[in-house]
Parts: sequence; structure tokens; C-alpha cells
Amino acid sequence: MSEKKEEDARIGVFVCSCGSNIGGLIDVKEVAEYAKSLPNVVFTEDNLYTCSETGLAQIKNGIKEHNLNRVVVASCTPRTHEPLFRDCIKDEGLNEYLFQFVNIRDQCTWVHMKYPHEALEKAKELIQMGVAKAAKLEALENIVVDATPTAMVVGGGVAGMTAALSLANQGFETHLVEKDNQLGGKLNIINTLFPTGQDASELLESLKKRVSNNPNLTVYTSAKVKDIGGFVGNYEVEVEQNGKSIDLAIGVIVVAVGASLLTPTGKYGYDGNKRITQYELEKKLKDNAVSAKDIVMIQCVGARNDERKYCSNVCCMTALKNALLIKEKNPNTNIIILFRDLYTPGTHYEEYYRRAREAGVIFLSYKLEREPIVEENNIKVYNEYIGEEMSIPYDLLVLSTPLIANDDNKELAQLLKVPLEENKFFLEAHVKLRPMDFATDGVFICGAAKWPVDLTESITQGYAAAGRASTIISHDTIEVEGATSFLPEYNKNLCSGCEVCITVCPYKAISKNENDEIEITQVLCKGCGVCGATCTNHAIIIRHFTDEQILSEIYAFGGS
Amino acid sequence: MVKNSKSVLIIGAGIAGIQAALDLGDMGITVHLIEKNPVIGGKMAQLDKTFPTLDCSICILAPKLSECYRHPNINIYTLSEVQKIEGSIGDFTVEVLKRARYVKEDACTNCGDCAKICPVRGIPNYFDANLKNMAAVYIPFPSAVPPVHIIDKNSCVYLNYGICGLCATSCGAEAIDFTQKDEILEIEKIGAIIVAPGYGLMEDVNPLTKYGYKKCRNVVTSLEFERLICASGPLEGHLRRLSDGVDPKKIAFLQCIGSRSDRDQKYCSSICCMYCTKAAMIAYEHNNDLESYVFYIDMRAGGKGFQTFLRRGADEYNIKYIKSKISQINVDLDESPIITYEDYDTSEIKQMKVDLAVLATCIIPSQGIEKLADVLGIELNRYNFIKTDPFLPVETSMEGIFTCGCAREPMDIPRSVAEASGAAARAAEVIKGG
Amino acid sequence: MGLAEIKTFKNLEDDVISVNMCCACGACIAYCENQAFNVIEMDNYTPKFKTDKSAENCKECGYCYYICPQTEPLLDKLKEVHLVKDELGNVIDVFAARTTNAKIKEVGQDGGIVSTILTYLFDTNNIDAAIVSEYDENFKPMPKIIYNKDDLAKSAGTRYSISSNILPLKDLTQVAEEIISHKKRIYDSDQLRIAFIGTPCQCRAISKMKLLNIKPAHVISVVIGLFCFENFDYNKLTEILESKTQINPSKIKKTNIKKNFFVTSKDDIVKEVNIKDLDEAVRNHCHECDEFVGRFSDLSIGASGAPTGYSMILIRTEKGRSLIDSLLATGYIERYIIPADQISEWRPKKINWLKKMTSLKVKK
Repeated sequence: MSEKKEEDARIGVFVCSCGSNIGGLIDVKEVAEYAKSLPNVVFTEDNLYTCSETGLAQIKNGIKEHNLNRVVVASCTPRTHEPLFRDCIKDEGLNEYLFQFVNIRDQCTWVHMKYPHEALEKAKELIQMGVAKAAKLEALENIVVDATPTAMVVGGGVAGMTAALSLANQGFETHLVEKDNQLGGKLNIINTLFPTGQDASELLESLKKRVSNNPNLTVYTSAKVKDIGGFVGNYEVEVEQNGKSIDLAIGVIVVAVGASLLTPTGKYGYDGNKRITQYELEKKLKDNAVSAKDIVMIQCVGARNDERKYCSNVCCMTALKNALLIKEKNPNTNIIILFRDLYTPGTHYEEYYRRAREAGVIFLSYKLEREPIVEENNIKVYNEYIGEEMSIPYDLLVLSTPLIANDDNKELAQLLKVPLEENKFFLEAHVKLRPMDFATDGVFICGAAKWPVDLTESITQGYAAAGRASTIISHDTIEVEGATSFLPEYNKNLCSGCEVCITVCPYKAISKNENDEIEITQVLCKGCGVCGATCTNHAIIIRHFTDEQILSEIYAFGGS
Repeated sequence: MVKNSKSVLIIGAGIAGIQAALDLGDMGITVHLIEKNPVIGGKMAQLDKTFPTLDCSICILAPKLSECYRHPNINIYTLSEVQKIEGSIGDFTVEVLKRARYVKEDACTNCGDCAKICPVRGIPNYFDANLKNMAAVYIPFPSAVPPVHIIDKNSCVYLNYGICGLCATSCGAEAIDFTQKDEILEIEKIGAIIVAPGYGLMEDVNPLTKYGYKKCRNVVTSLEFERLICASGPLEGHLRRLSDGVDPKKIAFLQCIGSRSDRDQKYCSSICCMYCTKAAMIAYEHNNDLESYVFYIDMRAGGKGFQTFLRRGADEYNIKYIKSKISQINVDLDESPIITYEDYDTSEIKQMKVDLAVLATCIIPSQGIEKLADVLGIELNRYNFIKTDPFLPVETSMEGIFTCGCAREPMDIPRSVAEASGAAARAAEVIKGG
Repeated sequence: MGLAEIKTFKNLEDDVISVNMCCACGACIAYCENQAFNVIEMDNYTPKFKTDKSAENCKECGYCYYICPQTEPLLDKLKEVHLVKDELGNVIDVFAARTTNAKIKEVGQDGGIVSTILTYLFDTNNIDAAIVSEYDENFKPMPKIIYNKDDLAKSAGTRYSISSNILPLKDLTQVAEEIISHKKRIYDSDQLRIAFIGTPCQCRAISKMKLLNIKPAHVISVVIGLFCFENFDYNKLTEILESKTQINPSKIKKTNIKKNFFVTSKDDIVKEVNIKDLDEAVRNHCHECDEFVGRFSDLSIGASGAPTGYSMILIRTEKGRSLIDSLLATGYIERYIIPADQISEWRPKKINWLKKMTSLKVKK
């Protein structure tokens, strides 16, 4: 192991007053004076505001005049200021990783406001630790790989086509892979669209036309993704189309495989004839084959229960849409919708609900604890408000069932090394702030493959995934911070092949190569340190947070 | 990669505007981010925790704020508003009014010494839902971006009377500059514009007196409640009744206040169903003796993990859900709210006395949106939100001007973020594709 | 930086203090000490720099000069905001009233209105404290902050020499801590509500501070001004009184003015002193004062013009009006019933009377 000779380190310590945030509670001059006594410290200074132009100039001066090769700043928080100071020392010719931040504000003066004496002692101890680590810091380089400016979209439904079009319009060579023999996904089944009432085929034809007219977009129907190798910016994808293999060099991948329809076998006497699903109703409406006089629709069939806890978003609006359509054609048809909570959020959908009520559709609520009982010609339903059980005659029963995850999600997930959540939909990096990303860089998700959504959101998400993917392939290269995890050559004999690191890595950055050796894809590594912490034989090293560096802090504080 | 000569202008720096800016900036496109408030972050910065993950809101937002601020491709203009635009898709010219901050942005280190010495008091801080006051020189919250203080020109004694100047004399960085003036900036070569002004608060335009708001100190709005339970808020996270300082044991969360109503707004405010349960959960974490009651018409929880979230609320956080319609709120002698409602499960009119009532008020279009729409030449729909086609969801009625987030209709953060990335992609198509 | 020429404490000394125009209200010190600048203090009713070095440490912010009731700047703006167009100021309503509280009747001056208002405000939890004035054991008026109505008794009645009522606000942070420790409702010292009772000059200072919206006056929630014809210097007054009545200040039980000056000793001996004999003790600034009823307040209250046993109330603001309305509605005070044949002329008569008193004061 390369040893950094401690006597080579020439450390400069800059203690910040941060106005009165630090200086108002503790004497920063005393702290700076104390720092002079620490090993390897050749220069100290205190500033009013180290982050100001004056303060930064003082750091640069210090480096120049005292030949510093390590810099410690004791001030506020690295969250906001670490990049600033790193850039500062880089400007003066020092590697940016030879910088150590000590937080004596948020972690000291701010939280110990009532104990100035103790805060002063703590600040000194924190700096003692920081200086010890600084002596052990090593220069690191950022990691750079090329990025191929091409994209692949898996799934040719609305979301997939939208994403592919957006990427192609931005000038990227885009490949759209669809396992069916035609594009469109569920849009092929749907009759009319809510809330406008226009024909689904209009939207579908318009999308297909734009797809076929786009010079940057290549479509592969009856095609499946067979194998994926590589990593972000450098994927090698094998697509199988009609028995033939096609190899593609891909920069980013967008998953838009949509969802499936649930057949409610065994529920409410479903028989596909008198008791059908909303999608079967769509087909009937397309064929103009709805002649029933008494229609009952039941919402939340097979959803929002213990078996499937979620709400499928689109079923209420679908039911309303079909009910309105039928009512418009035959105002005398009786339509009763049995619901638990009606899902019509926002401006337009709530308005749609009112329209349905005004058109004469009747809404009757039921509770999960007491589901309706379907008999041959009647439905028995108990309503709390009236406090009675009612018997509703019907000649057509329509069951609103949820969208469910595709059966082959698991297979695709394994190929892409991305996770699924408990309902087998794809799991994004962060539900709130990274809804289109996967934790693994380079792969993105949109549409019903992630979670049941209506067309508006499918389209938005298609654009969004394209936008997110574009942030990667808009550049020739991908660069990540140098503080990554790695398995050095000299530690390879320590690796026992237990593969725990592979399992625990949240970014799927670790794998085994063809020689059965552990390989850490540097460009995917975020330096979180979990692999290093769990490696049973301490074979993995986390740069910038090596055992030696961390222990030096602990020993400085506690004594070796 | 050849740097694009055209840029994108984004109006509004809430979570949607910020996300769009970051995406475009990461694509190598220059972004001009215009925000009328002195800091970026919008309403999300004011929340305590977010559903369904219960992440601390500012904790997940602050890194994005910093990223925006430091991004080489993003130019932030705060205290700024668009006055005029000319041109068309691919080549807009925009005139921006940038109001004087009276503090030099490149000198201020955000130490806060000026705010400590300023003797002016009694100015409500909008960030704390007007529950706390601030001095005439202030920053709405400590981790705000830009990390620069602002002087409120209406309350500053120096600017109005020519005396004081204590902030200037005490500033170690010499950052106070009373000579600053409002300026007009002209930004040319804008390829596309994204409008993301977010939403407004109903309580700002409607007194809500039938629900006791402003009459009874123990009736608060949901945003006020967020600030009250937030550790960085006026009560430092120790929830107490504002009338007598007693810990509330029974809290009512009333959904659909001012929404889904013929009397006020007809539409559904979308997010209240989720955030009431979230608020009740956070309150329960502070006090395990708490009983929470959520009054609702239809529970709307279609997003990922939302139904499970509600179940947890009922099973683990002592929340009871009452399907009902609220009539009014009266006040008891000890200023406790008494709620009169129709219980839909029993068809009875009932009354419930609680210690604290939280009103989930309707989200309305951003204040000033009519003027903005006029300036941009885009249409608003009948609800005064920005009009979009359901199948062209991020396009406004003007080519080259896109929109996203709550400016279109009420929606939660995941949707706003997705829409923002979507609008960014469409804007990128204009810049890169031509 | 180039800040414009701001007048500072040195100017205050030249323009006000050294020419005997200082009314010893305490505003300058209350502001400065509240900011923890630590440079000026009150010394025998005279504001001065604490030490020789203090003058160097002065921040020269100018507030002491501008909030001083005796300086010109801000006066125009103040009049604009308080709708002052003549010597009586903005008058929404004027009438006479008296307390219905027996205890207050006993100790109060005339109608006992001020004590009743404070009782009401404490009873209804509308204030957290009040600034009043009490006599110490040597008959010297001392400003005091009281936190409940039980302490009101000692502050009832008129004070006949200067009480620097604004001075206690210099310790506002301590006052706030005291209150917040008892009242969980208050989470921020900005939420404190303190009632202020003072002479017209003191109300002027408070109003100037509220105009600028500065600490420590931001916690003053209601300003009650007292009619004031003139005030005396404590040392000179007690000297003259003792020489005329042989009653030592520590032995004085009560004093009042009814054409002449009456002193009642603790043994209930009553001595009368010709009011002209006290002229020497009158504070110099009172000679230059043009405010009899006090125009910069929510309410102005005094005996002048009221029937015996009642006080005159001038309502100036909406806040003052709703306060008095509540007091009448809850029966804490009762109006003077004007005899039927005097109703139409009663109000203009009283207005003229008060204007006459004001001009008398000015002529002095």
C-alpha cells in the first residue's frame, strides 16, 4: 500500500468567524492559535468570512507563501461551501481532494449556543481531528467515461412513443423497441378519451405518423430486448426481432413497457358476457354493441383491498367516460355506479364528475367491509347513508378493474439491474424528487410501467423521461467525483467472493466479471461507502474515506 | 458539445421551475430563472415533511437549491418579474424588472448580523405563514438561496426617513448598498419559455370566516399548521394552541375547504387528502396521545404508495376518517373550535369539539397570473389556471411557451417534478432540434 | 457608504437637553439600551453618556434624536398618520364616563377610567402587562411594569412630578422572559401586548417609535394619553411643598389639584398651597408645550371639562373605540347621562373648553 509520509504534509488551517455565527460565541483567534500546535500545521489564520473574496484570496496566498499542500477550513457546512473551497485550492494548483472541511458552526456553535466554553473546546477538538485526517489525504482524479449519444426506448405505447419522439427531436439517434406487432399499447383498445371525448384512434394515428416521419427514430416491432451489457453511456444491447439478433450501442435506456389488464376471474360472477370489464365495454362501444337498459358499474374491483392495496387512478374516469357516452346515446338507460371513493381530482376531472351527475348517472357508495353481492339479475348493495340494503336490477354489469404490472417486468428488471416494488411495478430512485430516474444511472422509467396513470400523465412522463435521459447524452463524456469505492490489485487476494457488496450496493455499481472477479463500475459509484463497510475482509477501499484516514481522526481525538 | 446559442427562460423558481432549470442546465443549455420573491424554493421550502415518504421537505429541496445556484448554466434573477415579451418561438426577447435588493449579492456572506441589529419589528414573515415577524433587513429562512439578505423597502427606516443605517455600519462585508435601484433587464435570444408560477393560497383572498379562521386562534390553515409543527418554525416543532399555549389532544383536519363547492371553487384541490394524513402523522410523532379526525368527502390517494400511507394513518397513527360535509365552525368559551357536520355514514347532523382545527384550503391560481398571462399572450382556462390540452399537457396556447406544475392545475410534488422535466424536454427540442 | 447627515445624541444634547427642553420621557434610553449599545443612561431626569468613552461608541444611528418628542423631524409625518389637523387632534367621539368598580372609585382620580380600562384588559387577557406609575415611599413617581390587575391600586391617581414612563422598556428582553415563562401562549417576544399610559409628550415619543415600527415600542398594543397642563420637577416641587406645608415627602398620603394644590398627610391633615407658589417647580419644557389633551394616542383621558366624579374620554382610533365600546357593553364603565336640555350643545361646548385649555397652556 502506498504510504503517504506524514512529514511531507504541510497543512494550513483557516478558522472562520462567519460574522458572529462562530466568532460571536467562541474566540476564533484562540482556536487558530491552538491549531498552530497541531502536527504538520505550518500556517494558521482566522478570517471574518472565509468564503468571501478576501477570505479565498487569503487561502490562495497561504498556499503560495507557505508552500501548503493540504488545506483545512474550519467554518460552516460542506453542504454549501465545500465545492467553493475545493475550486479555490484548485485555482492555486492544488488537487481539490487535498482539502478537509471542519464544521464548527452547524455542528458546534449553533447547537451549543448556551455553552460557549464547551463549544470552544469542542471546536478545538474537531479541528484536531480534521488536521489529523488532512495529513492522510491523497490526491484523486475525477472519473471520466465517454457517452454514446443514442437512446433506446423499450415499449411503444403512448409514453414510449412520446419519449422516443422527444429524444429524436432533440437530435439523438433513438431506437424504439416494441414486443407487439404494432405500436400503441393500450391505446389500441381504448374507444374514446376522457375528458375530451375524442376518438382514441385520432391520437394514436397522429403519434404513429410523427414516429414514422422522424428521421432519427428507428422502430422495431415484434422485438424484445434479449440482453444488456455495459453501463451508463456505454450500453451494449441485443435486440431480438423475428428470430434475428440486432446489436446496438446505446447511451441511455428508457423503460416504457406499460401495464396489463386484470381479468377479475371469480369476482362478482365475471363471465365476459353479462358481467364484463371496462375494457371489454370499450370494445363493445367501438362496435356499437351496447343495448343494455340497466347498467351497473362497480368500482375498485380487485383493488384497494388486502390483495392489492393501491388505487389504479384511471378506473373512475373510465367508468364516468363510458357512462356519459352511453347516456348521450340513450338517455333512458339507467346507469348506477357503485363506488367507495370517487377519484376525480383536479379541475377537469372534478368537472367531468359533475357532468355525469347532471346527465343522470346515479352514484351509490359502498364500503370495503360490505361488498355488493352479485346475483343473476340483481345486485344487492348496502348503503350507510340510507341505512338499508338495496336490490338493483341489471342486464349489464361492468367491473372497473385496476391496471396491474406486466408479468415480464421481473425479467426486464433483471436485465437492467433495476428494482421492482411490492406490486411488481418498477421502482424509481425517489418517489418525490427523482420520479423518472432509477437509482442506477442511465436507465429511466415512465408511464404505467411505473404506476397506473392516465394518458395526460403518460405523455408528461414520456417527455420527462426523455428530458432526464437527455441530461446524460447531451454531453460527450460523463464525469463523476473521484471519491469512489475500488478494489485495489493488492487486495484482490483478500476478496472471498462472498458477493455481499453486490447485494448491498444501492446503485448496482458492483458486479462479477467473466473471470469471477469483483468489478466496481466507477462511473456508477456514488461513494456512499456501504460496500466498504460491509466487506468482511476489508478488501474494498473507499477513496477519501479510507480506514487509515478515518482512524486517524478517531485516534487524534481519543488517543491511540 | 457545441454550446447552444439560444437559452430558455423559466418564470417561477418553485420546485417545478428549479427542476426544469436543472434538467436544461444539465443538458448544456443556458437557463434564465426568474423569481419574483427574494429567494427561490417556493412553497415546498415552507413544508415540514412531504408525503408519502415523510422526508423533511427542506432537506431534500436544499441540495437542489444549491445546485441551481452553483450551476454554470443557470442564471438566477430574484426579486424579478417579466414585464414584456417580443418575438416568437426560437427567438424571444424578454424584458425583466429586477427590483433593488439593497444588498450586494456578491459581497453578502449571509452572516445575519444586520438582521440582529435592525430595530424594525412587526413585519410578518410570509415564509412562516405570517406567524412570526422579521426585521426590515432579513432572509426568509436561513438556508435560503441566494444566500443573501434583503431589505424590505417599505419598512426600512433609512430608505423612508434617511436615518439609522445600522445594518450598513455593522456589516463586516460592506454588503449593504442603499443606492441600488430597480432595473430593467433585456434578455435576448431566448428560444423557449417555461411558465411555472405555482399556486396561490385561498386564505389570502378569502376570509373563510364561516370556518372561524381569523376569529378563533385555534383554527389554522394547513400551511400555518406546517409551520407550527416544523422544527424551524415559530414554535420550534412543539405544537401548542395559539390561544393558550396548551398542547392539543384532539385535532380535526377538514378537507375540501373552499373546494368541490358551489359556494367557492368547484374543482378538487387534489393534494389535501394526502397532506392531511401526513400532517396528522407528524403531529402524532410529536405527541402519542393525539387523536386526529380527518373530515373528507372522497379520499383521493391514487399515487404510488398513497393508499398504503392512508392505511398506516388509520392503523398506526390514531387517525379516524369521517366521511362528511362541513357546515360551519363555532367557538367555545375557551376558544376551542366546535365543528358542525353531516356524517355521511349515519346521515346525522353532528357536532364535534376539538382543541385545534386545521383547514385544508383550496389551491388557487398564483396571484398575478392574469397579468402574467396577458404579458405572455397565453390563455387561461375557466378556472384561471394556465390552459393546456389534455394530450399536449405542457404546451400553452402560445407556441414556444411551455408550462408545468400547479400553474396548470393542483398537483403534488412528484407530478410537478415530472411535468417540469417534461417541459424541459419540450424546450430542449426547440433549442436543439429547431 | 455615504449615509446622509444624521443627527445623533450629541445633537440631542445641544438641541434639547442642554436648553432644558428634555421632558425625561426615557424614550432615547429605552431604545438605545434595548439595542444593547450601552452608551446612554438617565441621571436625575437627564439623559447623558454613561462614560467619557461612550461618545466614541455611539453608533450614530439617529433614533434617539428622531424619536425624541421634542424634535421637529417626523412630526409632520406623525400628524399625517394620526389625522391631526388642529390642537385637539382626531376626535372620533368625546364623552364623560366613570367606573362602576367600587374599589377603583375609592382610590381613583375622578372617574377612575384608566384603572378600569387596565382592569378590563387584564380580565379579558387582552394585555400581558401595562406601564404605569407608582409613588415610592418618598412620594417620587416611579414608572413600573405591572403584570396583573392586583397591582393597579398603587398606580391610581395623578402623579405630580415627572415619571419617565418609557424608561422600563429598556429592559424589554427581561420583561419578555418574565412573561413568556408564565404564558405558554406566547412563543415570541414580538407577541407581547403592553398597554402604555403616559403624558402627551411621552405618547408622542411612543407614537414616533411606532411610526418607525421599532423595538421596543412594537409591543405597545394600546396607547392611553392623559390630559396634562403642566408637570413639576420632583426636587423643586417637594422642596416648595415641604417649606409651605411642613409635611415631609415620606409622610404624604395623597395630593390633588382643585384650583389650588392640596396635600393630605398620612395623619389625614390637609394643607392647601397656592398654585402660583409652585410656578418655580414647573418643568421648563412644559412652557413650550402645545399639547394639553395629547393627540397621538388611542384614547385621551382627563378630568378637565368633566362633571365631578367623571372623566372626559376622547376616542381617537378604531382601536380606542372598540375598547371603550367593550367597556360600556360589559358595564365596567358607565356614561355620564347628559341632561336632556344640554344634549345638542354638550359636545361642542366641551370641545371648545378643551381648546381653550390648550390655548391657555400655550400662552404660558
